[in-house]
Amino acid sequence: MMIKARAIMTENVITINDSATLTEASRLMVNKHVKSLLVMKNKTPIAVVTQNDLIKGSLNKISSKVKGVMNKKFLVVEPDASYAYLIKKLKNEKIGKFPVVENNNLVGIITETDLVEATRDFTKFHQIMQEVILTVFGLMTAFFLFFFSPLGQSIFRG
Amino acid sequence: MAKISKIMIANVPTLKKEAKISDAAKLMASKPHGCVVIVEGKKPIGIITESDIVKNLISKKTNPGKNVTKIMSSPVTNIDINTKIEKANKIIDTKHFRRYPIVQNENLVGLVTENRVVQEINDNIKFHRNIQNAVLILFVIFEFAIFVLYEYLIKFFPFLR
Repeated sequence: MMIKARAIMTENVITINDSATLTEASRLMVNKHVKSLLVMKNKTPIAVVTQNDLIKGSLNKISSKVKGVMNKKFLVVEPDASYAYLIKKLKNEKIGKFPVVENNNLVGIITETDLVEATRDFTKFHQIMQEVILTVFGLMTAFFLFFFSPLGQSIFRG
Repeated sequence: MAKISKIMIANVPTLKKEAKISDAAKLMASKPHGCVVIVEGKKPIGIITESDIVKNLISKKTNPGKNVTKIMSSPVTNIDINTKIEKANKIIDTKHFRRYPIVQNENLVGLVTENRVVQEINDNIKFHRNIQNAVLILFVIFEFAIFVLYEYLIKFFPFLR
């Protein structure tokens, strides 16, 4: 089964300008119940800012602007990117934010949370498939044994 | 099935319950775990996540000098170190938290996240399914061959009749 990025992405992306202040970013995060914001410039995602960045920024007083604390740990993907590709990137390169861009337009974002949800569904699908295959196999075996039993012989071959 | 200790993160950042909110923020900024477990002795009594600290940054009610117990989530759902991964998944399914302290005799020994458990189970299931499918396909081919070759087989092995 192939799951595409389009099927698991969150369409409502919470974005912020890179000139916004840390307080604005924190407020937006708390109000929208998200753990990270996508930083946009001229309709292109340029960085992400996470809760950890905000905490670091406000502790060290490096900068009061989002520009000073944001990080580049994100990867722009197409809506056709596969689930397996995203999981590989998450595991190997520890990238947890995937803005989905189609024809230079931001259409959604995939975060670690979306991937966990997708994996849960995937696991359920695997379990159901396994049971279906076992059932079919069980019926076939039962028929096979019946076919060669004396009763089956008298029914099927006179 | 493996036990939860196989996928847990050891060396969890902890703070005593007397610590201040600013201590928790500092500890969190220096570690990648995204949370701090509040302990009493070695027993986990609460957990503070990055969301709690960010909420605290913008609220005027609680200042960073206050005690961590003011903003921590308590009580926490602990998972015993001998729990099987499948069982842990069931606990996570009913609680819907992200992080769970791992305890041994009520003492904190590690931390496990929802993501790790879900990924581990998925990997296991895929592996099992692949093996199972291979075995099943072999059996089905065997059965089918006997059906097809039945007439020939009874010529050589009359006892099948």
